[in-house]
Amino acid sequence: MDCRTARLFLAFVRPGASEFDAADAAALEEHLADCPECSLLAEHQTRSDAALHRAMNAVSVPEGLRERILQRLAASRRRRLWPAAVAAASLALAAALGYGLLLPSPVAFDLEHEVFHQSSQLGMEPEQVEQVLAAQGIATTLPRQFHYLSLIHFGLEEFHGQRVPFLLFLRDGEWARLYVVDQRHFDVQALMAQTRADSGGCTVEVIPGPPGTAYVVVYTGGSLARFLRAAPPAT
Amino acid sequence: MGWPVSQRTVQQLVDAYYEALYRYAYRLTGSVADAEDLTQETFCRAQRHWHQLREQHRVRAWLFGILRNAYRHRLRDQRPQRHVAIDCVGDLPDPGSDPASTPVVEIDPNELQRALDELPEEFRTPIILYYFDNFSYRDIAEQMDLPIGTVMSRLARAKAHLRRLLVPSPVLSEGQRRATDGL
Ligand SMILES: [Zn+2]
Ligand SMILES: [Zn+2]
Repeated sequence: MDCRTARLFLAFVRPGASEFDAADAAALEEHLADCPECSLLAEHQTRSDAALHRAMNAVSVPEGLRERILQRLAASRRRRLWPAAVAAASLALAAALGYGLLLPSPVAFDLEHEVFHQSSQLGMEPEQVEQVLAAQGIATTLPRQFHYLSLIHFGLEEFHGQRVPFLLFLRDGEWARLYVVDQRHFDVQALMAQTRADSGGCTVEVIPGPPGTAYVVVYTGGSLARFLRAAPPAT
Repeated sequence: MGWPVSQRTVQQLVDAYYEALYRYAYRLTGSVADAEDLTQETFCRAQRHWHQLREQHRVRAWLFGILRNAYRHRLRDQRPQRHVAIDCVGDLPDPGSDPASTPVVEIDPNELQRALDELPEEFRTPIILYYFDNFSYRDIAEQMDLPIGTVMSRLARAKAHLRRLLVPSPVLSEGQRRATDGL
């Protein structure tokens, strides 16, 4: 290798990285060992690269940036999936039921559920969702009347102090959040005595499940029909 | 409508990358306020568009890409900035010149920023990524959606520009000194 080629290589070589093939790298090494001028240049480059690397990274991160980022993220999550109307609807149902503490507060409710199979859950049937949950140690029976093509998320979510199976459906810009509650933790009989409450664009509905269980569904759009398999019977 | 991603995952993402993203944003913009805003916006977009992340192990490249897009979006809305003409952004080193013989001193990070601010974005982005840890030529090429050869030649020219401005080199030839005066 001559000086001209060596210096072209030096313009691209990167210490510690193998961007060139072994033969070229060996030829360059050989030339540097024999040529004091090129080896001086190489050494100068290595040192200036190191200095540039240090200077490039010498940026002090503002105090409290992490917290400000997390705050902004939380605010944007709440705007997206937790309109204030839901809180009002929850309160309306809770009042109707006479169980002031039964429905979750918005704070505890803020998407704090586990994420399973973020991308592979599209198009799953309820049986498959049950299997995935069972593999996580969560035995549950999910409602069959829902349209699972609009299921975008499932997992566990905090519901009145208990982690319960949770489904999130999304369709036509409306959503439905479904919680599976059972009689070990909740008074299911009392829940089912009152089955529906509306408030400010959101509705809470209690649907009976297998014996001893119920599904609490909070949804937007005024009707659950869009989330169900069959069209509702004409009235 | 984006996909929900768990708050825990988002927090892990923030913890792992917010400092690197902030430093990148600062080097791109040269402004503390813009860098902070870009960093926040990057995480908001990531949270909103989580479903677009195809490969979990490439999350760092994905985040850096989001930040760069957000930055370029803002650039378009701003007045044109004063940059050196691309033709003046350093040629490949002249094989005939004498190698510098003085040891390299530390580079002032603020002077580095001034030198970066002079570069057009297509040169600034690769050189910042290059001097950040672990961004290979291939990573940078993917990030900028350019052939690797283009990235290497832009980098060589950007490096020559930074060295001429920042690294003392007392044995410049007459011709090189004149070329540097114009910058
Ligand atoms: Zn030589
Ligand atoms: Zn979710």
